[in-house]
Amino acid sequence: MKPLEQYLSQATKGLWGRKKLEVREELTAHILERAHKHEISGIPHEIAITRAIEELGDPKTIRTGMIGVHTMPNVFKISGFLTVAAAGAIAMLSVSSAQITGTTRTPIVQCQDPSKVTFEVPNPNSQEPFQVPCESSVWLEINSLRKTLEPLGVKFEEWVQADMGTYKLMRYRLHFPEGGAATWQQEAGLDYGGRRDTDPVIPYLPGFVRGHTLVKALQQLSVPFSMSGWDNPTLRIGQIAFSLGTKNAPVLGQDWYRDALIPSLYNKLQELALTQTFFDSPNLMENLAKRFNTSVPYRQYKHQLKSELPSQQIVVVVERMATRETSVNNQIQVIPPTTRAYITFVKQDGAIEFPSDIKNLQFVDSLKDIKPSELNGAGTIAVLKFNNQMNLGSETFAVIPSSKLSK
Amino acid sequence: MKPDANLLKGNLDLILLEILEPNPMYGLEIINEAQSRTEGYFDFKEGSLYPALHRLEQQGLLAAEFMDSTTGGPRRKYYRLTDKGNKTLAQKRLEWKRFNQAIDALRGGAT
Repeated sequence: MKPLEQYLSQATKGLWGRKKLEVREELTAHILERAHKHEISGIPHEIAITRAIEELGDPKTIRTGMIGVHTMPNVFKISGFLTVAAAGAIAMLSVSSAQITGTTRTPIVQCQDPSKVTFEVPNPNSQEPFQVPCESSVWLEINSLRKTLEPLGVKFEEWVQADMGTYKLMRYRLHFPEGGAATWQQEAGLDYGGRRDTDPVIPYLPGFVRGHTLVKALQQLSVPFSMSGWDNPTLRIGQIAFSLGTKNAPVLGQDWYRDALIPSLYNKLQELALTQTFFDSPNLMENLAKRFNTSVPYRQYKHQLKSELPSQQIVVVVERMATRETSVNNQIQVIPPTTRAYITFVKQDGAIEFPSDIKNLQFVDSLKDIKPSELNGAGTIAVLKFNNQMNLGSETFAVIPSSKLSK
Repeated sequence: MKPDANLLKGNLDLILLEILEPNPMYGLEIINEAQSRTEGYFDFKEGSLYPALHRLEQQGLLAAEFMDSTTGGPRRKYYRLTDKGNKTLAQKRLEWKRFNQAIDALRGGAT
């Protein structure tokens, strides 16, 4: 193996997929440019490459740093994304409902094939298209939104606010028939880079708008505004209403409701005064496993509880883990104490399914009674029931009495 | 005289945000710029730079995109400050100013 290939292999070991390719490309550009400057001063090509590699330093330094940024805290990154996404959705669900008197129309497209992990969006700056994760149906196609709203009397404006070559700042404004306008701006043309899970300032895809951005814009209106329904939920804006999603490209209401719950749930769990809190989406495990083509090294036990709760009732399984160590790429990582909140939905038969590292579970009737559990050991959990009243800041959660649950 | 390694490490975010404030730059350009603007005082360990840039990107302080090289080589990854990055830079500058003022005050030369 050539020194450059060997170095890149060592420096990116442990990274996955697109991120690995990106880091390789970035380091390759660095080494070759550095080497080129040495060559100009008369050093032979092979020696110039070796020198540039030496100057970049120990590949383990890069590898350790990159792994720390891109792999270890995956679960936490996703929780961070959800928290950010929640802000708009919770506000949306807080407004009073309006009677539907307008025409309900459909489609707002996001994932054409829900069985896929990602879908592709053309990248104007590169031959490589954007890869948009499918697991959260909160990306809305702007053209589809436009085609939906214009027949309902909404005037759609779009213009470039700032154009700096490959970077553009777009501005959109919707004029509603009852008066008032909703405006938002978003970046376009940025490399998406898989940061959707991680980036509080989420880079925007050209041609797509995030659900919570749209919602924040719609809140500028003085007309009533609400959302209802689980699959392909309906948005009501004053006298008009339309559905998000189609049969073939569904928008899952659970993504929106789940996001809506997170701020108040987070506040609730702060009572436990632990250092970290994870919020997992119902399909987190499957998506991580699909995306990385591997099994994830935690949550090894899948539990199923029986309840008398109605199907689609939102429940939150809360558990606490003690400090523990885990091995990632032959390096020992210390995981601090965590509170885990697994948000899920009651199935048709009243079953509640969730994964856990705890083998033998015991129900408790109060959050304060949840004891930190050692890995693979016995542990305690509480199951919270959400009151399904989505009013800003007043969502309530009640612990389901242990007598109402069984294994 | 080179800066203490811990001092450099502790202020790496501020240094990178300062360098990137005027213009988007790629990794090697950032290293060169740091050396040039500080007359060699800041000499990054190159291998530590890239994880730091990725971390700032992940935190939303930087945004990045690959662009074709002007010299015909592989694409370069350019980093630029986001709005959040600009705000953080302003905040870090203020912290740094206050810290310096406090040090000056301790030395009896309060500003």
